[in-house]
Amino acid sequence: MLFHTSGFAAFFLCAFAAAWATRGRPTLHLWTLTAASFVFYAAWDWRFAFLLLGSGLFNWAAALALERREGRARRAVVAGAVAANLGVLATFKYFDFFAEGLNALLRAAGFEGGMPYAGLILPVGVSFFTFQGLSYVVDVHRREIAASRPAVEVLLYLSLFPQLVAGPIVRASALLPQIRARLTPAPGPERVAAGFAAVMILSGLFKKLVLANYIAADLVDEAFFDPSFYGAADLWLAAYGYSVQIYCDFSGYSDMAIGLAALLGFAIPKNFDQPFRAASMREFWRRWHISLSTWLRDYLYKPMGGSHGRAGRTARNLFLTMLLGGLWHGAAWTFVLWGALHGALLVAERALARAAPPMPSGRAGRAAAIFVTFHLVVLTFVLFRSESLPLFWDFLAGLTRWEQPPELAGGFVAGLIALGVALHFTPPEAPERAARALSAPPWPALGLVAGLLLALIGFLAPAEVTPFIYFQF
Amino acid sequence: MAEPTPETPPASLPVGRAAAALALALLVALSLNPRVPGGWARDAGLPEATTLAAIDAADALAAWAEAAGLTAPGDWVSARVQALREE
Repeated sequence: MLFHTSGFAAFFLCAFAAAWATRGRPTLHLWTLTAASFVFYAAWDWRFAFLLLGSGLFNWAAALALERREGRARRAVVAGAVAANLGVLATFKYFDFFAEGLNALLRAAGFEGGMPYAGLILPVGVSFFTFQGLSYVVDVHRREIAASRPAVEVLLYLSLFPQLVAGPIVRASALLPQIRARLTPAPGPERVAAGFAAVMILSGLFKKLVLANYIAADLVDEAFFDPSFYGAADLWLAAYGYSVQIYCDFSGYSDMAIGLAALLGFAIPKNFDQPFRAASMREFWRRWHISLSTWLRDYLYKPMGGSHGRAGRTARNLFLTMLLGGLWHGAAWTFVLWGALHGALLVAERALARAAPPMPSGRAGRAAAIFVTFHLVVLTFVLFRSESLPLFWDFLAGLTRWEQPPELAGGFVAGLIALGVALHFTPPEAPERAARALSAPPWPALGLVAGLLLALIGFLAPAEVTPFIYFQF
Repeated sequence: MAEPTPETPPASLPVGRAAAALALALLVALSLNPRVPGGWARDAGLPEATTLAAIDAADALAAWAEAAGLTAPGDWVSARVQALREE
């Protein structure tokens, strides 16, 4: 059930009406939202709804067990819960990847046979709800939040449908208090941020349906399918194009998730902050997939020691965090190497900042830093998008093949890419201003304007819409 | 486009009015969408009229762009117009 389909619109209208109609009966209200979320998830594959249910109940029970224990027993419970959550990921996402690697090693050592492949289907969103489950038990272990007594709180936290299948990864400490607040009746008439929601949903739809789709269909998919066939002009444009496509695809989904959650009365933190205006790799990761980068920082980098130690130890922590962050994206060497490259770039940037004089300040200096950072990001995304390492090398080799005339590069797709980059340099407060402007007139004006803009996006979009990139993670 | 922060309190509407605005938005969008059958505006011929007008405008733009040497014959503009006509 994709956000842009009329089927989802009908589902959301029902869920919205049922959720607010039950607001006066708190427990029923939470169960209604949870049931709607499970219906949404079961629409992908009903069998995996049991996995989500099992994950929720397990983490709920583990957190309750944590609260009753201290010392070594408490550490054992949290270690067991973390291992179980990672075990789910390892089984569904990485089993065949590791089996393939092990079998290659065995063959190289002269052994016959090897591990059998499981051939499991990857449950959509498993990386996201597993990380949320981990966040819950670890936050309870750290005493940052109390364990939930009613199971429905945890089930809703893991399954809240706007952000269930592709994030943002919302911390337990950010979402559970909002869920718990629903257990008391509202003091007055409930209000929702409708103008804000409209801006987020419309901007997300435009980014995904118009920008990401055309760039993918008209340029990126063909160029990456066989890079040896194209020259430098096509491949450079495809490299820029993929960076803009993945930004529009993923931030578009996040915007829609934030907008839909706002209509249900939940505030979900932003996931992107104009990442291509970053002037360093460190700044890039503060602006790109913020919910993942902060998750990795707080649950992996800091527990390993973070930057409290010698420079070499900090570099190791940074590199390992990014390496595992790359692996989180998928069971493929391209993702692992992409994470390793980002780790190496962050380490190098840190070392350079210590050894070299500071970067030139002022507008020109920042513009140069943004230019360099953007190109590092673009080139690493080529690796991320490549189906295999040989295709990645083919792509890199083609970037110097200037004698070959362009076949894919055209004014339309170049214009869309330029628009996708230009969005990064609009005033940061523009969406808030648009949200206020939309909310100021009477509600029929908001409905009419939002409807006309929705229709316009529907008209501009191609009939065939590619799946969201982050669904595969 | 900059992503707004949920921490910033945005302007809000009572739930009832937000629901009405949402329903109106979906009604307008689905009615005007030429790919959605059964919409009242489609039955009244409005989407066809607006779609045809948009196609004519796109056709004229494509012809002008080709004449000005900005696009090649048969590229995305023509392809998009053709796809819309087929739909």
